[in-house]
Amino acid sequence: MTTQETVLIAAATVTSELSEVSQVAKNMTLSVMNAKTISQCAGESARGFHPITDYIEDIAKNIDHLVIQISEEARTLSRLSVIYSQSEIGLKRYETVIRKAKDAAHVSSLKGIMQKLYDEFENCRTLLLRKLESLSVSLDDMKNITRSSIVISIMSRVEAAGAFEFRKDLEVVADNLESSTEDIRSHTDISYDKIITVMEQLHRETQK
Amino acid sequence: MKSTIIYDDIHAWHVFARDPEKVEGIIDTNQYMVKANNRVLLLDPGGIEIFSSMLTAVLHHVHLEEITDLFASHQDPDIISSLGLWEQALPGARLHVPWLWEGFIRHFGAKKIKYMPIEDHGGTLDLGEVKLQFIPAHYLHSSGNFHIYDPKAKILMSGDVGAVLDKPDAPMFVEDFDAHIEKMKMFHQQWMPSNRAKQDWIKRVGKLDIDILAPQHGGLFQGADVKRFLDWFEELDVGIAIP
Ligand SMILES: [Fe+2]
Ligand SMILES: [Fe+2]
Repeated sequence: MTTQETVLIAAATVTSELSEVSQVAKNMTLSVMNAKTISQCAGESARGFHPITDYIEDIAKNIDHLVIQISEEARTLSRLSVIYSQSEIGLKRYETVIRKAKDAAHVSSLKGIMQKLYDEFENCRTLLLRKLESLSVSLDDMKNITRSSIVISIMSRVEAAGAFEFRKDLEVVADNLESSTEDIRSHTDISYDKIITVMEQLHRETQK
Repeated sequence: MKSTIIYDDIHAWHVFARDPEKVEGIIDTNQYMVKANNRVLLLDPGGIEIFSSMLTAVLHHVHLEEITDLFASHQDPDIISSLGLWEQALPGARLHVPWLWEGFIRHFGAKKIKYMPIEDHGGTLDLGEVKLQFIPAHYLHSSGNFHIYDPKAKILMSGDVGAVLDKPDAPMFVEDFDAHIEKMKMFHQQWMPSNRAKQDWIKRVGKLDIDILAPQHGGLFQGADVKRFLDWFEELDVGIAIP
Protein backbone atom coordinates (compact mmCIF):
# COMPACT_ATOMS: atom_id res chain seq x y z
CA MET A 1 0.00 0.00 0.00
CA THR A 2 1.24 3.51 -0.74
CA THR A 3 1.69 6.03 2.06
CA GLN A 4 -1.28 7.99 0.79
CA GLU A 5 -3.51 4.91 0.87
CA THR A 6 -2.38 4.00 4.39
CA VAL A 7 -2.92 7.56 5.60
CA LEU A 8 -6.34 7.85 3.96
CA ILE A 9 -7.43 4.55 5.48
CA ALA A 10 -6.12 5.63 8.87
CA ALA A 11 -7.94 8.97 8.64
CA ALA A 12 -11.17 7.24 7.58
CA THR A 13 -10.78 4.75 10.43
CA VAL A 14 -10.29 7.54 12.95
CA THR A 15 -13.35 9.37 11.61
CA SER A 16 -15.63 6.35 11.75
CA GLU A 17 -14.35 5.10 15.13
CA LEU A 18 -14.73 8.58 16.58
CA SER A 19 -18.29 8.89 15.36
CA GLU A 20 -18.98 5.72 17.38
CA VAL A 21 -17.30 7.39 20.36
CA SER A 22 -19.50 10.40 19.90
CA GLN A 23 -22.60 8.17 19.98
CA VAL A 24 -21.42 6.49 23.20
CA ALA A 25 -20.76 9.91 24.76
CA LYS A 26 -24.34 10.92 23.93
CA ASN A 27 -25.63 7.80 25.67
CA MET A 28 -23.42 8.63 28.63
CA THR A 29 -25.04 12.04 28.91
CA LEU A 30 -28.51 10.49 28.84
CA SER A 31 -27.51 7.95 31.42
CA VAL A 32 -26.05 10.61 33.72
CA MET A 33 -29.29 12.61 33.58
CA ASN A 34 -31.11 9.49 34.65
CA ALA A 35 -28.57 8.94 37.45
CA LYS A 36 -29.11 12.50 38.68
CA THR A 37 -32.85 11.93 39.04
CA ILE A 38 -32.30 8.67 40.88
CA SER A 39 -29.75 10.11 43.24
CA GLN A 40 -32.05 13.04 44.00
CA CYS A 41 -34.83 10.60 44.93
CA ALA A 42 -32.39 8.57 47.01
CA GLY A 43 -31.64 11.72 49.02
CA GLU A 44 -29.18 11.36 51.89
CA SER A 45 -28.37 7.71 51.15
CA ALA A 46 -26.93 8.69 47.72
CA ARG A 47 -25.22 11.87 48.80
CA GLY A 48 -21.83 10.70 47.52
CA PHE A 49 -23.35 10.04 44.10
CA HIS A 50 -24.07 13.70 43.30
CA PRO A 51 -20.51 14.79 42.63
CA ILE A 52 -19.98 11.57 40.68
CA THR A 53 -22.78 12.43 38.25
CA ASP A 54 -21.16 15.84 37.79
CA TYR A 55 -17.88 14.12 36.98
CA ILE A 56 -19.57 11.84 34.45
CA GLU A 57 -21.22 14.85 32.86
CA ASP A 58 -17.85 16.56 32.55
CA ILE A 59 -16.28 13.46 31.07
CA ALA A 60 -19.02 13.18 28.43
CA LYS A 61 -18.55 16.85 27.56
CA ASN A 62 -14.78 16.48 27.29
CA ILE A 63 -15.17 13.45 25.09
CA ASP A 64 -17.51 15.37 22.84
CA HIS A 65 -15.06 18.25 22.45
CA LEU A 66 -12.21 15.90 21.78
CA VAL A 67 -14.23 14.01 19.16
CA ILE A 68 -14.82 17.28 17.28
CA GLN A 69 -11.15 18.20 17.49
CA ILE A 70 -9.89 14.76 16.42
CA SER A 71 -12.36 14.55 13.52
CA GLU A 72 -11.11 17.92 12.28
CA GLU A 73 -7.54 16.70 12.58
CA ALA A 74 -8.43 13.54 10.65
CA ARG A 75 -9.89 15.68 7.86
CA THR A 76 -6.71 17.74 7.69
CA LEU A 77 -4.72 14.52 7.65
CA SER A 78 -6.62 13.24 4.58
CA ARG A 79 -6.03 16.54 2.82
CA LEU A 80 -2.33 16.50 3.63
CA SER A 81 -2.02 12.91 2.42
CA VAL A 82 -3.39 13.94 -0.97
CA ILE A 83 -0.93 16.83 -1.21
CA TYR A 84 1.88 14.52 -0.10
CA SER A 85 0.97 11.98 -2.73
CA GLN A 86 0.73 14.61 -5.50
CA SER A 87 4.11 15.92 -4.50
CA GLU A 88 5.56 12.41 -4.53
CA ILE A 89 4.06 11.59 -7.93
CA GLY A 90 5.41 14.86 -9.36
CA LEU A 91 8.83 14.20 -7.96
CA LYS A 92 8.87 10.66 -9.36
CA ARG A 93 7.89 11.87 -12.83
CA TYR A 94 10.71 14.40 -12.78
CA GLU A 95 13.15 11.78 -11.52
CA THR A 96 12.18 9.71 -14.56
CA VAL A 97 12.98 12.69 -16.78
CA ILE A 98 16.39 13.05 -15.15
CA ARG A 99 17.04 9.37 -15.82
CA LYS A 100 15.83 9.47 -19.40
CA ALA A 101 17.24 12.84 -20.39
CA LYS A 102 20.84 12.13 -19.39
CA ASP A 103 22.13 12.92 -22.87
CA ALA A 104 19.68 15.75 -23.61
CA ALA A 105 21.38 19.04 -24.41
CA HIS A 106 19.32 21.03 -21.92
CA VAL A 107 18.93 18.58 -19.03
CA SER A 108 20.84 20.96 -16.76
CA SER A 109 17.87 23.32 -16.82
CA LEU A 110 16.09 20.86 -14.50
CA LYS A 111 18.54 21.37 -11.64
CA GLY A 112 16.71 24.14 -9.82
CA ILE A 113 13.35 22.44 -10.26
CA MET A 114 14.57 19.16 -8.80
CA GLN A 115 15.83 20.95 -5.70
CA LYS A 116 12.51 22.75 -5.35
CA LEU A 117 10.58 19.48 -5.77
CA TYR A 118 12.72 17.69 -3.16
CA ASP A 119 12.24 20.58 -0.73
CA GLU A 120 8.48 20.63 -1.29
CA PHE A 121 8.26 16.89 -0.82
CA GLU A 122 10.25 17.05 2.43
CA ASN A 123 8.00 19.84 3.59
CA CYS A 124 4.89 17.76 2.84
CA ARG A 125 6.35 14.82 4.71
CA THR A 126 7.11 17.00 7.74
CA LEU A 127 3.58 18.43 7.75
CA LEU A 128 2.10 14.96 7.46
CA LEU A 129 4.24 13.64 10.31
CA ARG A 130 3.37 16.61 12.49
CA LYS A 131 -0.33 16.11 11.90
CA LEU A 132 0.00 12.39 12.70
CA GLU A 133 1.86 13.24 15.90
CA SER A 134 -0.76 15.75 16.98
CA LEU A 135 -3.49 13.20 16.25
CA SER A 136 -1.72 10.61 18.34
CA VAL A 137 -1.50 13.13 21.20
CA SER A 138 -5.22 13.90 20.93
CA LEU A 139 -6.06 10.21 20.90
CA ASP A 140 -3.81 9.79 23.91
CA ASP A 141 -5.86 12.50 25.65
CA MET A 142 -8.94 10.44 24.87
CA LYS A 143 -7.26 7.42 26.44
CA ASN A 144 -6.56 9.48 29.56
CA ILE A 145 -10.19 10.45 29.79
CA THR A 146 -11.20 6.80 29.65
CA ARG A 147 -8.75 6.13 32.48
CA SER A 148 -10.42 8.67 34.71
CA SER A 149 -13.77 7.35 33.57
CA ILE A 150 -12.79 3.91 34.85
CA VAL A 151 -11.91 5.42 38.24
CA ILE A 152 -15.29 7.18 38.33
CA SER A 153 -17.12 3.98 37.47
CA ILE A 154 -15.36 2.19 40.39
CA MET A 155 -16.27 5.08 42.71
CA SER A 156 -19.88 4.99 41.55
CA ARG A 157 -20.02 1.28 42.26
CA VAL A 158 -18.80 1.91 45.82
CA GLU A 159 -21.36 4.68 46.31
CA ALA A 160 -24.13 2.53 44.83
CA ALA A 161 -23.37 -0.16 47.39
CA GLY A 162 -24.35 2.22 50.24
CA ALA A 163 -27.57 3.50 48.65
CA PHE A 164 -29.94 0.95 50.22
CA GLU A 165 -33.13 0.61 48.17
CA PHE A 166 -31.59 2.61 45.26
CA ARG A 167 -28.60 0.35 45.13
CA LYS A 168 -29.83 -1.60 42.06
CA ASP A 169 -30.64 1.55 40.06
CA LEU A 170 -27.32 3.14 40.80
CA GLU A 171 -25.51 -0.08 40.00
CA VAL A 172 -27.08 0.07 36.55
CA VAL A 173 -25.64 3.56 36.20
CA ALA A 174 -22.22 2.25 37.21
CA ASP A 175 -22.55 -0.65 34.74
CA ASN A 176 -23.50 1.72 31.93
CA LEU A 177 -20.56 3.94 32.65
CA GLU A 178 -18.23 0.98 32.71
CA SER A 179 -19.41 -0.45 29.41
CA SER A 180 -19.43 3.00 27.77
CA THR A 181 -15.88 3.55 28.92
CA GLU A 182 -14.89 0.16 27.57
CA ASP A 183 -16.48 1.01 24.19
CA ILE A 184 -14.76 4.36 23.95
CA ARG A 185 -11.46 2.85 24.95
CA SER A 186 -11.63 0.17 22.26
CA HIS A 187 -12.63 2.64 19.49
CA THR A 188 -9.82 4.95 20.59
CA ASP A 189 -7.29 2.11 20.66
CA ILE A 190 -8.17 1.08 17.10
CA SER A 191 -7.67 4.68 15.93
CA TYR A 192 -4.48 5.13 17.89
CA ASP A 193 -2.94 1.91 16.56
CA LYS A 194 -3.72 2.93 12.97
CA ILE A 195 -2.07 6.32 13.43
CA ILE A 196 1.01 4.79 15.04
CA THR A 197 1.31 2.26 12.19
CA VAL A 198 1.25 5.05 9.60
CA MET A 199 3.82 7.05 11.55
CA GLU A 200 6.10 4.03 11.60
CA GLN A 201 5.66 3.49 7.86
CA LEU A 202 6.47 7.13 7.18
CA HIS A 203 9.54 7.00 9.43
CA ARG A 204 10.75 3.87 7.66
CA GLU A 205 10.35 5.62 4.30
CA THR A 206 12.23 8.66 5.57
CA GLN A 207 15.16 6.44 6.55
CA LYS A 208 15.15 4.94 3.05
CA MET B 1 9.46 9.55 -27.85
CA LYS B 2 10.11 10.26 -31.52
CA SER B 3 10.73 13.84 -32.44
CA THR B 4 10.62 15.33 -35.92
CA ILE B 5 11.16 18.86 -37.15
CA ILE B 6 8.40 19.61 -39.63
CA TYR B 7 9.34 23.20 -40.37
CA ASP B 8 12.68 24.85 -39.91
CA ASP B 9 13.28 28.49 -40.76
CA ILE B 10 13.62 31.56 -38.54
CA HIS B 11 11.16 29.75 -36.33
CA ALA B 12 10.62 26.00 -36.18
CA TRP B 13 7.89 23.42 -35.66
CA HIS B 14 8.58 20.14 -33.88
CA VAL B 15 6.29 17.16 -33.45
CA PHE B 16 6.76 14.65 -30.62
CA ALA B 17 4.92 11.35 -30.83
CA ARG B 18 5.02 7.53 -30.98
CA ASP B 19 6.40 7.07 -27.49
CA PRO B 20 7.68 3.46 -27.30
CA GLU B 21 7.53 3.63 -23.49
CA LYS B 22 3.90 4.67 -23.47
CA VAL B 23 1.77 2.84 -20.88
CA GLU B 24 -0.42 0.07 -22.38
CA GLY B 25 -3.93 1.07 -23.22
CA ILE B 26 -3.55 4.83 -23.57
CA ILE B 27 -3.91 6.37 -27.00
CA ASP B 28 -0.91 7.81 -28.85
CA THR B 29 -0.83 11.58 -29.17
CA ASN B 30 1.10 14.13 -31.21
CA GLN B 31 2.54 17.01 -29.21
CA TYR B 32 3.82 20.07 -31.02
CA MET B 33 6.32 22.78 -30.22
CA VAL B 34 6.86 26.10 -31.98
CA LYS B 35 10.27 27.53 -31.30
CA ALA B 36 10.79 31.19 -32.04
CA ASN B 37 13.76 33.30 -31.04
CA ASN B 38 12.62 34.40 -27.61
CA ARG B 39 9.49 32.37 -27.15
CA VAL B 40 8.67 28.69 -27.18
CA LEU B 41 5.11 27.41 -27.34
CA LEU B 42 3.98 23.87 -26.55
CA LEU B 43 0.74 22.85 -28.26
CA ASP B 44 -1.46 20.24 -26.63
CA PRO B 45 1.40 19.08 -24.41
CA GLY B 46 -0.39 15.82 -23.57
CA GLY B 47 -1.49 13.64 -20.71
CA ILE B 48 0.11 12.84 -17.37
CA GLU B 49 1.30 9.43 -18.56
CA ILE B 50 3.49 10.75 -21.34
CA PHE B 51 4.80 13.77 -19.42
CA SER B 52 8.23 12.31 -18.63
CA SER B 53 8.85 11.23 -22.22
CA MET B 54 7.58 14.52 -23.56
CA LEU B 55 9.69 16.70 -21.29
CA THR B 56 12.71 14.53 -22.03
CA ALA B 57 12.14 14.98 -25.77
CA VAL B 58 11.69 18.73 -25.36
CA LEU B 59 14.94 19.05 -23.40
CA HIS B 60 16.84 17.84 -26.44
CA HIS B 61 15.81 21.03 -28.21
CA VAL B 62 15.15 23.82 -25.74
CA HIS B 63 16.15 25.03 -22.32
CA LEU B 64 13.21 25.01 -19.89
CA GLU B 65 13.37 28.75 -19.34
CA GLU B 66 12.77 29.26 -23.06
CA ILE B 67 9.26 27.78 -22.81
CA THR B 68 6.95 30.74 -22.31
CA ASP B 69 3.58 29.57 -23.57
CA LEU B 70 1.32 26.54 -23.54
CA PHE B 71 -1.76 25.98 -25.64
CA ALA B 72 -4.61 23.55 -25.03
CA SER B 73 -6.97 23.18 -27.99
CA HIS B 74 -9.63 21.83 -25.62
CA GLN B 75 -10.11 20.23 -22.22
CA ASP B 76 -9.48 16.54 -22.89
CA PRO B 77 -7.09 14.59 -20.63
CA ASP B 78 -4.96 13.48 -23.60
CA ILE B 79 -4.50 17.17 -24.39
CA ILE B 80 -3.59 18.76 -21.08
CA SER B 81 -3.88 16.51 -18.01
CA SER B 82 -0.10 16.94 -17.59
CA LEU B 83 -0.61 20.64 -16.81
CA GLY B 84 0.02 20.30 -13.05
CA LEU B 85 3.38 18.68 -13.82
CA TRP B 86 4.41 21.25 -16.43
CA GLU B 87 3.61 23.99 -13.99
CA GLN B 88 6.30 22.72 -11.62
CA ALA B 89 8.87 23.52 -14.28
CA LEU B 90 7.15 26.52 -15.85
CA PRO B 91 5.48 28.50 -13.08
CA GLY B 92 5.71 31.70 -15.10
CA ALA B 93 4.28 30.30 -18.33
CA ARG B 94 1.03 31.39 -19.91
CA LEU B 95 -1.64 28.91 -20.87
CA HIS B 96 -3.87 29.75 -23.83
CA VAL B 97 -7.18 27.89 -23.54
CA PRO B 98 -10.74 28.23 -24.82
CA TRP B 99 -12.44 30.49 -22.25
CA LEU B 100 -15.16 27.85 -21.92
CA TRP B 101 -12.80 25.34 -20.34
CA GLU B 102 -10.67 27.43 -18.02
CA GLY B 103 -12.52 26.44 -14.84
CA PHE B 104 -12.49 22.80 -15.92
CA ILE B 105 -8.82 22.71 -16.84
CA ARG B 106 -7.99 24.11 -13.41
CA HIS B 107 -9.00 20.67 -12.13
CA PHE B 108 -5.70 19.40 -13.55
CA GLY B 109 -4.02 21.07 -10.62
CA ALA B 110 -2.20 24.14 -11.95
CA LYS B 111 -2.56 27.22 -9.77
CA LYS B 112 0.41 29.42 -10.58
CA ILE B 113 0.26 29.32 -14.35
CA LYS B 114 -1.30 32.35 -16.03
CA TYR B 115 -4.53 31.48 -17.82
CA MET B 116 -5.10 33.30 -21.10
CA PRO B 117 -8.69 32.56 -22.11
CA ILE B 118 -9.33 32.60 -25.87
CA GLU B 119 -12.65 34.14 -26.87
CA ASP B 120 -15.04 32.20 -29.12
CA HIS B 121 -14.06 34.12 -32.25
CA GLY B 122 -10.35 33.26 -31.82
CA GLY B 123 -7.37 35.59 -31.77
CA THR B 124 -3.63 35.71 -32.34
CA LEU B 125 -0.51 34.84 -30.46
CA ASP B 126 2.54 36.88 -31.31
CA LEU B 127 5.75 34.91 -30.86
CA GLY B 128 7.93 37.60 -32.43
CA GLU B 129 9.03 35.87 -35.61
CA VAL B 130 5.52 34.61 -36.25
CA LYS B 131 1.98 35.59 -35.40
CA LEU B 132 -0.04 32.43 -34.82
CA GLN B 133 -3.81 32.43 -35.30
CA PHE B 134 -6.33 30.71 -33.07
CA ILE B 135 -8.85 29.27 -35.51
CA PRO B 136 -12.29 28.49 -34.01
CA ALA B 137 -13.14 24.80 -34.31
CA HIS B 138 -15.98 24.54 -31.82
CA TYR B 139 -17.86 21.24 -31.66
CA LEU B 140 -15.03 19.49 -33.51
CA HIS B 141 -15.23 17.68 -31.24
CA SER B 142 -15.18 19.81 -28.11
CA SER B 143 -17.70 22.60 -27.60
CA GLY B 144 -14.88 25.09 -26.94
CA ASN B 145 -12.08 24.25 -29.34
CA PHE B 146 -9.35 25.99 -31.33
CA HIS B 147 -6.83 25.03 -33.98
CA ILE B 148 -3.63 26.95 -34.58
CA TYR B 149 -2.64 28.29 -37.95
CA ASP B 150 0.84 29.47 -38.78
CA PRO B 151 0.68 31.62 -41.94
CA LYS B 152 4.46 31.59 -42.37
CA ALA B 153 5.00 27.85 -42.05
CA LYS B 154 1.57 27.19 -43.58
CA ILE B 155 0.84 24.66 -40.88
CA LEU B 156 -2.58 24.10 -39.39
CA MET B 157 -2.49 22.25 -36.09
CA SER B 158 -5.93 20.72 -36.25
CA GLY B 159 -6.43 19.00 -32.90
CA ASP B 160 -8.70 15.98 -33.17
CA VAL B 161 -9.70 16.86 -36.74
CA GLY B 162 -7.76 14.61 -39.10
CA ALA B 163 -6.87 12.30 -36.24
CA VAL B 164 -6.64 8.52 -36.26
CA LEU B 165 -5.92 6.16 -33.42
CA ASP B 166 -3.12 4.32 -35.18
CA LYS B 167 -0.43 1.74 -34.37
CA PRO B 168 2.40 2.99 -32.12
CA ASP B 169 4.88 2.70 -34.99
CA ALA B 170 2.72 4.44 -37.62
CA PRO B 171 4.68 6.85 -39.85
CA MET B 172 4.74 10.53 -38.88
CA PHE B 173 3.20 11.58 -42.22
CA VAL B 174 0.29 9.92 -44.03
CA GLU B 175 1.79 7.79 -46.79
CA ASP B 176 -1.26 6.23 -48.39
CA PHE B 177 -4.27 8.53 -48.22
CA ASP B 178 -6.79 5.99 -49.49
CA ALA B 179 -5.74 3.44 -46.90
CA HIS B 180 -5.80 6.18 -44.27
CA ILE B 181 -9.45 6.99 -44.96
CA GLU B 182 -10.55 3.66 -43.57
CA LYS B 183 -8.79 4.39 -40.29
CA MET B 184 -10.15 7.95 -40.05
CA LYS B 185 -13.76 7.24 -40.80
CA MET B 186 -14.95 5.80 -37.49
CA PHE B 187 -12.97 8.35 -35.48
CA HIS B 188 -14.55 11.32 -37.22
CA GLN B 189 -18.06 9.91 -37.38
CA GLN B 190 -18.07 9.05 -33.70
CA TRP B 191 -16.12 11.90 -32.14
CA MET B 192 -17.32 14.79 -34.29
CA PRO B 193 -20.85 15.65 -33.25
CA SER B 194 -22.02 18.31 -35.69
CA ASN B 195 -22.30 18.43 -39.49
CA ARG B 196 -23.09 22.14 -39.27
CA ALA B 197 -19.95 22.85 -37.25
CA LYS B 198 -17.96 20.75 -39.69
CA GLN B 199 -19.21 22.65 -42.77
CA ASP B 200 -18.53 25.96 -41.07
CA TRP B 201 -14.97 24.87 -40.23
CA ILE B 202 -14.37 23.59 -43.79
CA LYS B 203 -15.44 26.99 -45.12
CA ARG B 204 -13.08 28.83 -42.77
CA VAL B 205 -10.11 26.52 -43.18
CA GLY B 206 -10.62 26.18 -46.94
CA LYS B 207 -9.49 29.81 -47.27
CA LEU B 208 -6.16 29.15 -45.56
CA ASP B 209 -3.01 28.27 -47.41
CA ILE B 210 -2.00 24.99 -45.78
CA ASP B 211 1.09 22.87 -46.51
CA ILE B 212 0.77 20.64 -43.48
CA LEU B 213 -2.36 19.69 -41.59
CA ALA B 214 -1.16 18.45 -38.24
CA PRO B 215 -3.65 16.50 -36.12
CA GLN B 216 -3.23 15.52 -32.48
CA HIS B 217 -3.27 11.77 -33.22
CA GLY B 218 -1.82 9.77 -36.11
CA GLY B 219 -0.18 10.82 -39.36
CA LEU B 220 0.18 14.42 -40.55
CA PHE B 221 -1.16 15.42 -43.98
CA GLN B 222 1.04 17.30 -46.39
CA GLY B 223 0.82 18.69 -49.89
CA ALA B 224 -2.11 17.38 -51.91
CA ASP B 225 -3.28 15.19 -49.04
CA VAL B 226 -4.42 18.33 -47.18
CA LYS B 227 -7.04 19.14 -49.79
CA ARG B 228 -7.88 15.47 -50.12
CA PHE B 229 -8.61 15.39 -46.43
CA LEU B 230 -10.76 18.53 -46.49
CA ASP B 231 -12.78 17.17 -49.42
CA TRP B 232 -13.25 13.81 -47.74
CA PHE B 233 -14.25 15.42 -44.45
CA GLU B 234 -16.72 17.72 -46.18
CA GLU B 235 -18.59 14.72 -47.57
CA LEU B 236 -18.54 12.71 -44.35
CA ASP B 237 -21.68 12.40 -42.26
CA VAL B 238 -20.69 12.87 -38.62
CA GLY B 239 -22.39 12.49 -35.25
CA ILE B 240 -23.69 9.06 -36.18
CA ALA B 241 -24.08 7.60 -32.69
CA ILE B 242 -27.53 9.15 -32.26
CA PRO B 243 -29.82 6.10 -32.33
FE1 LIG C 1 -10.30 15.47 -27.75
FE1 LIG D 1 -7.40 13.87 -28.77
